[in-house]
Amino acid sequence: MAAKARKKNTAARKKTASRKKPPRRAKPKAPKRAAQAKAPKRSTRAKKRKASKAISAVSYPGETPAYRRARDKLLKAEMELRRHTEAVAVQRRKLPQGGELLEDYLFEESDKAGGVRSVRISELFAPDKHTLVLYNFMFGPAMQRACPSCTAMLDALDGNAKHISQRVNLAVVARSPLPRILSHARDRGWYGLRFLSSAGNSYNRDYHGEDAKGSQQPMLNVFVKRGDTIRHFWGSEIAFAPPEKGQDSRHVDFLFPLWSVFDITPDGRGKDWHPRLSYI
Amino acid sequence: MASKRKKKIMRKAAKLKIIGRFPNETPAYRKARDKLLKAEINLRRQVEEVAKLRRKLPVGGAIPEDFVFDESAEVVGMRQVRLSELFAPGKDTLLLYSYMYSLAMNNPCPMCTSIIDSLEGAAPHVGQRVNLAVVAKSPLPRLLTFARNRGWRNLRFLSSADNSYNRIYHGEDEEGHQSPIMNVFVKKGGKIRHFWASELMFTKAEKGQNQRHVDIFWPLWNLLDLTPEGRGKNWYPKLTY
Repeated sequence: MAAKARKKNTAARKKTASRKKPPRRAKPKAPKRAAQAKAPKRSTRAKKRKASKAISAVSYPGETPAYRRARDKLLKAEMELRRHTEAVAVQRRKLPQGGELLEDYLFEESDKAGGVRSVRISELFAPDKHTLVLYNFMFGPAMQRACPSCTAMLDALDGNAKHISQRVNLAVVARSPLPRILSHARDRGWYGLRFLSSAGNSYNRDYHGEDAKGSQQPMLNVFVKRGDTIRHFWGSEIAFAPPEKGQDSRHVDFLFPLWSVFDITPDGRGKDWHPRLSYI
Repeated sequence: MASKRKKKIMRKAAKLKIIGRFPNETPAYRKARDKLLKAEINLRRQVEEVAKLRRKLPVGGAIPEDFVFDESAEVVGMRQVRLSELFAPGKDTLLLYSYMYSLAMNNPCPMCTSIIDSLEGAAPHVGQRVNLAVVAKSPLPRLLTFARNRGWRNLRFLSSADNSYNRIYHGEDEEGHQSPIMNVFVKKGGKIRHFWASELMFTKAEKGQNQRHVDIFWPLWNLLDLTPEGRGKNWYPKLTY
């Protein structure tokens, strides 16, 4: 309403202006009005800037003004990163539907009595949960031992598994025979995760958990069930993109607290340190 | 020159598409996925840039006092430990997570608990490079009982029941309410200084979001970011289900 009235007013003024003065003089008036309209916008922005400074002004004992200045600058970068993380998640959620599942793979898992049972990928979807997250754990039969990096990642993921499972279906797939996987899981003290053996199917090969030569690859795949159709939604493809110089591919970085924790320390991730299966 | 650079870019772009093909995917999916992959690569770069900026912080303030905490000890059950004693020889960085579990609270914070559920698994690895401990304002036996029941056996737990650490390092507000906060301290030449804190906690959250101040080491939410459902608007982790 107000905007309409203003428009009307402006139009009326324009009319009188063009009536009273030649059009050549009426023209420069327009930018002036625009400048006036913009003025309050600028001041709001300045106020916002001020407010954001105040927000970050939690101070720590003995900190110098130089530290605070740098910390506020970093805080802005951290906020920007937080925004960007969300933007990427939003973009991910907008992906067109992925390819239909190649086949209803048959995995092996432990049954409640401690024996072995076969389970289809379609059966991994609980009735009210339409998303399935499958992590490819590098632990093939040809490997002497499980991948230490995957193991370190699962060490942390295991603790969050019961929370995650409230919202989505989550399981870990490895190519080794089931008893070998379960024995490793038991040794690690993992009790939250669901383990599947893909020893008898081609899941790893089809969904990039294994290369053409049979070498295992770490890979996280997300599948979605709509009606009776299961489709691929997303894979941690960044594992196959060229890494930044001096870095790993960091394809499941966000699920791997270890590295993020090092990111908040002065020494960072280090160049040549990698997690091991044991430190004794 | 220009064509050489273009060739390099094209090669790089081709590399991006190498193996990233999934059964039955449509060209529309591939196009959107490649676009997303570029965004993911940018995000990876940004994570590193922020970490770099963090490492360039000027020295922080010296600790005002060598706080005395309670922790468990073999045989005697409980012992006092100074903050300065939390630095193992050769490890000059100390991470202290303020766990919201005060005497006034019936239960510990379920969100913090979920964070620690995951940190617990990372602890043996993290501990190879830096010192890590969890601080709470409850008396030590209460804290240890909860940790034991939860199955936590790797993390080092400290009680700040008898010191002002929480209050001074923003693990507690003026009214005694606990705040979740991660603080990092650095020891240089016998002097211990504050290095960084998850101050995002004290910033204004984005609309409809939480502060996400320790998002980076909390797999739960990051995993939900990979799903079509996302994090959800009103679901939060609980102590039990």
